[in-house]
Amino acid sequence: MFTTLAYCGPGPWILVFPLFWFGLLALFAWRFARWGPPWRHRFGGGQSVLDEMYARGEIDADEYRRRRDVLQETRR
Amino acid sequence: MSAAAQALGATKVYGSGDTAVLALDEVDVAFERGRFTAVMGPSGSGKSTLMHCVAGLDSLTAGRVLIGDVDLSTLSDRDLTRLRRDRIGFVFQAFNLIPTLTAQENIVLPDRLAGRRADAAWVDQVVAAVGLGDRLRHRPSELSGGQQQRVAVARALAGRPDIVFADEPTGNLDSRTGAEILGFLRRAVDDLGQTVVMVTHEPTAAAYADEVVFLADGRIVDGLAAPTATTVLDRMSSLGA
Repeated sequence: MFTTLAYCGPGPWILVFPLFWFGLLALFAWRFARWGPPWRHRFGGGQSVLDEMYARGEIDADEYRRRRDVLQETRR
Repeated sequence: MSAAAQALGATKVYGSGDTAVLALDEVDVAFERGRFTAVMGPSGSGKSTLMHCVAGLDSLTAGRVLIGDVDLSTLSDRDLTRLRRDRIGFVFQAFNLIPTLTAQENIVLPDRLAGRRADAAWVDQVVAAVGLGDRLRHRPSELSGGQQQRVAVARALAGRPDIVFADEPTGNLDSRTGAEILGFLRRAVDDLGQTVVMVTHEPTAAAYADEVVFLADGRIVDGLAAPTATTVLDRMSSLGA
């Protein structure tokens, strides 16, 4: 006959899935904290440096476009 | 008093061989903290090159540049970018504002891109100092040249830099709005304790500074403390500039 009386809780393997998800989240959080949000890395580090230079006014719009085009070409 | 920025034996050569141009010839100069310094000289004297090199926008052929006590030549591109972001502000002749953003957004964007929160109280103080209060929601195209340059000055100051470099900040402005901008730079030094280095060819602009450094042919040829437009003009004509 089928019985659950002998069942004394799950084994330690039950922890595998929660730990997996926790680890994945921790990895994302660490990466986010270390390098900033991933959506700023669409074109890699060069692009964000360029964006910052433009935002600070160190380069004008023409210079920004020129350098951005070069960055995107070399990536292709 | 320690220097906010200094150049030691700064030499810059453009090109090579027969076409090489010596833009800076072993320049030694120090910009003291809490001072407003004007750099003057005829076109081609190397004044803009000096500013770009000291500000870390261009690299020297020989010699050293120190921002505080950090030698720029020891930094990687990434660290140099970070240092400029954290410690240096810029104001240019052409304003270089982003046309699709409002004045307010232009002012805080550098901080946001750097993943920092702008210090709101400080930004308010800066915005008040440059008198932009009611124009903050306007785009650059809806602002006059003088107002656009005020936004650029506020943006330069918003990150609380150690030193602000201004390259001909009044070059695109009429004399009255130019005087306003110079007044703000002066106030940034007197009231906010900032350090300003300004490249200019106008004696009236240089008169706002605490001291003037004269460049000719890539060398520092003279200096003047507590300048007035007249003493600057006199000195310029005696230098044949």
